[in-house]
Amino acid sequence: MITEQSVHVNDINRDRQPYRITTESSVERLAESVAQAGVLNPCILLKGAEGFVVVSGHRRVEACMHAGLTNVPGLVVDTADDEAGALLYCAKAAVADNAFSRTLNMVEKAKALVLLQRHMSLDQIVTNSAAVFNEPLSGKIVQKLITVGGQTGEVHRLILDSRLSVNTVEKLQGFDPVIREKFIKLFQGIKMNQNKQLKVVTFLQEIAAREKISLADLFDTEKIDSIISMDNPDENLKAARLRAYLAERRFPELSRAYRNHKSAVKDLGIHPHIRLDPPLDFEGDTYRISFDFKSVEEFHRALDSLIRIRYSERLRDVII
Amino acid sequence: MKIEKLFIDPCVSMLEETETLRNNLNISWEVAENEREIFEYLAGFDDPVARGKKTLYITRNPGALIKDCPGTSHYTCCDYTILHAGTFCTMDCSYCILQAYFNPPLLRYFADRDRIREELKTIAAQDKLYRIGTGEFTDSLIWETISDLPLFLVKEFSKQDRAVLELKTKTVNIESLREVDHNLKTIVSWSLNTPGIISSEERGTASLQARLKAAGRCVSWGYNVSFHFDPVVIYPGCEQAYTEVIDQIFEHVPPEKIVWISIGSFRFMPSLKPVIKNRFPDSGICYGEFVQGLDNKMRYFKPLRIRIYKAMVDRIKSMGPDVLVYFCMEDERVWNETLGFFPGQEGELGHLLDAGAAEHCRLDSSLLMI
Repeated sequence: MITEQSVHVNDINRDRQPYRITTESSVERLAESVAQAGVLNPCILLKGAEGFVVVSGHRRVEACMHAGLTNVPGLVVDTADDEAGALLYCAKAAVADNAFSRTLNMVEKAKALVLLQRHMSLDQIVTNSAAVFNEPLSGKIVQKLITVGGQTGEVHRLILDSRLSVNTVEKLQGFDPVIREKFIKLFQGIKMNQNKQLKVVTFLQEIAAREKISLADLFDTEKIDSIISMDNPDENLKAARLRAYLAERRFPELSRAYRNHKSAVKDLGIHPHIRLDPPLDFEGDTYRISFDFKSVEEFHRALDSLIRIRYSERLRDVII
Repeated sequence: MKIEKLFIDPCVSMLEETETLRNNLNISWEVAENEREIFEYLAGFDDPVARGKKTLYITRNPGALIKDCPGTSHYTCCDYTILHAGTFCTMDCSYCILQAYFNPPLLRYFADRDRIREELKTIAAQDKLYRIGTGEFTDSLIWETISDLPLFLVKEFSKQDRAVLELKTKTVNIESLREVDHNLKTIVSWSLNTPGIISSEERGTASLQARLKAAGRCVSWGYNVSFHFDPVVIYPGCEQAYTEVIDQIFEHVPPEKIVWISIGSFRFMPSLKPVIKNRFPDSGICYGEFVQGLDNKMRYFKPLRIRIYKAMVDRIKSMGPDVLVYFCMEDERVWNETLGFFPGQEGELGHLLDAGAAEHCRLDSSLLMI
């Protein structure tokens, strides 16, 4: 049963927040709005033995207190008649009230799904997702976000700061907690986009498998440790160094071939504006020459350079 | 062959061949009109692939019985012909593409002897030579313990001189091939690997020694044999390990009875990798230096392939200089740097192999010129 009531703020148990999904905590502006215009939409409150619990409107309640109001307008849900039905309603309402007024971020969606999962099966969540989330969600994304929802507050913060991608979090689930923590610490210190994070995880995992060492030992190797703890604020540089090191260790022969190619091209004395690229990963048989020029003079210089290397004996060191 | 669940398609249930299989398996069976219901059955297991290896569906082949080997572009293909008599395998190799190739991955036995007879008659009437195998989508001899299919095929092929049958296996199920008038039209063939790879990656297969002994026995029964090193897996010490396997081949089989030896390194569709990681978590086979091939399959970095191939080819040539060696799905540079030539024209490798088959198996060599 749902009734409209004006509830005293002291009767609201603000220490218990099982329905909170919002990641926004500041209430200053909202408090100003409440002071001037009052609470435009009533909060949803669940009546319990130890007072009311906020289902939706956590920030509105805080804002009322900031604005010095003693009562908040509420829609009060009573569990007396049908407890399971009332709790299911509260879970859906907590999500829908937010999802239909703004776009939820990934962490909020994840928390919302964890909340719903207590009252609904995965299939029911997927079927009802459009009505609750204001967008249809696939089973795959629901499962992925539930994994995210189960993470620590620190992980949620890293996701919100774009330091950890949802896909990376999902991939890290397969590791034991100690290793997961090492990865999280790594991405906390070195910012990378999702693709680069996933690549780093895969490289580390595969290097450990190739070299038959544990991931923990791999993390602790001097080189990796020195890159992670490098005393340089440039995170892009750290990320590039780490990826280059891992690529070289994962693909030693291929890396050597690229290095040799680069060195052979340099020995050829080719004009610096000219690129001479080998077949991708040396698998095909087609080399490619390309160059940019801004004037007829530059074009001539590049062409002269190409004509010169035509007679170089070192050309066969490049084109193998 | 350990089958725990048997489904039979009603359209083959009255065939004598089905009756034989049913009697040999001696387990209860269910009627299944289509594969969908079997797929649903398999989907209920934690490892449907493993269950698919214990679940047999006797049915008709819904597609072509004779088909060209699905070679890929950019790499030289041997122009092999497949006799599609069944699918999947009871053995469990980590690298097996069939795990990701069929949906559902299910043992299927195609019962239809009359159709095989008819198709082979058509082939025997063509003015060209065929090398036909049953080991592309299944192991040729896993069926030998429950069916006389291998024996039937050996007998059928013995009646003509335009096609040779290659039975490719990792088993030693050869007993039924004994005392058959094969007329040299069957090549019994083993897929080989190093003992280390066999024990770590080829669950449920016969040991190297057992395979080579079986090859020796087949030779003693007059058969020609062949060997396939595919997949060659690159790992520390692999060159010595593979050359030792080659030495052992020649200890068991005289070179003149070897029709060909093929070599191909491990390559895989990217979709196979998660299957291997999931089903074979201890396997390190996916973690080599793989690059994307021109056919989009992952393959070892080319200089690594060339290095192991050179070692293997040199050893084969020193042990049996006249043995025909070829590469499965390799490019011009690999051929030239290891064998010193490249069969680059369309059908050139196929022609080479036809010639080898004609010589060893007494096929109608006049057709080689056509």
